[in-house]
Amino acid sequence: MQALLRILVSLVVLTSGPLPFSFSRQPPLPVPQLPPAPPPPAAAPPPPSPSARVFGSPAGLIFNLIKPDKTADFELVMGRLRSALTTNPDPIRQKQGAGWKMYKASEPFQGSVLYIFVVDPAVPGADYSISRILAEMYPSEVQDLYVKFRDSYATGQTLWNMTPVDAVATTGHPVVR
Amino acid sequence: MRSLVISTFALAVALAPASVFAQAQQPPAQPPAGAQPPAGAQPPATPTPPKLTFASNAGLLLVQVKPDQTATFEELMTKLKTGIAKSDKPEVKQQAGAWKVYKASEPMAGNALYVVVIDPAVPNAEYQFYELLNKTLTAEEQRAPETQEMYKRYAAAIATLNKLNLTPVAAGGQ
Repeated sequence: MQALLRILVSLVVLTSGPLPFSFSRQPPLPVPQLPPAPPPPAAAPPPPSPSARVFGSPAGLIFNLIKPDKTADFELVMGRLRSALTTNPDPIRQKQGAGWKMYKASEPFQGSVLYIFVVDPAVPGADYSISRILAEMYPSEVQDLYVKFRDSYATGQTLWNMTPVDAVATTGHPVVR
Repeated sequence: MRSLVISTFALAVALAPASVFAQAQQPPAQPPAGAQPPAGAQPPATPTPPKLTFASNAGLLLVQVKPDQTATFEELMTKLKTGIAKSDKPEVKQQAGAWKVYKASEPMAGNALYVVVIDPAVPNAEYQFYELLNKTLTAEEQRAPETQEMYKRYAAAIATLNKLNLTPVAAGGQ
């Protein structure tokens, strides 16, 4: 347990330094945490933690800039993330997984490889922190996955709140829902 | 609850030069050739290569729209989606249902940001807005003067456009 705490403390130090775009980008990555104890059946869901990735809109995009030599590691973690979302008995996680698509761009971006997550629909209030989702389902391997995940990033994530644009046939005018 | 609404300034700066993407494209200032009025008897038009294509099986367009022109751009998207849906041309019809258009809550470089996700994309099919829209019009509609004006309005609404070829990853889990 002490070894685990040391790792967690070191990760906090690694991820709390100054960022190239500290005023506009997400903090690089949250420190993974062991899954919290399940709440009592009638309890209200706890609010997301300060490091939570939460969308305030019906849909969202996440841009991930990955080091070119670390794409295999990143995709390995994404595969585990997909499994974690689909096998998690929590209906919220399953809803998140159903609306979460992951893409790799063919075009290089500033020397990095761009991965784009399209989340539609976004589950209101749900936490999209990858490390937390992994920790819930794979507590024994989350540290190894997290190291791969963290080290694959050239920079942090960028999260966009998006609203689908639909056409309303009855009025002929486009609307944003 | 803290909603992580992130300023897109850094990404706006990064995306500002259109050349950063290998295949970034600007919208044409001119309407498609098919919308030009016929000048008497002309030989049959030879097929022109598509102006905006995806080489992969999904794609994404980042479209910066002038802030006072969002209604015009959304009108274009509406016409495209409805036109594609009711088209009887196979090369157009196969795109039906694959377009999703989103508007970002945060502005980018002073413009409104729209993201068009196309999944699945038809390799080497035409995805240039005006060329595709023109394919959904009748010959009479294509020749109409108001069509020319419509294309000019649409072209004037778009500030920049960037294209990304996408490949789905981790679709089935591991």
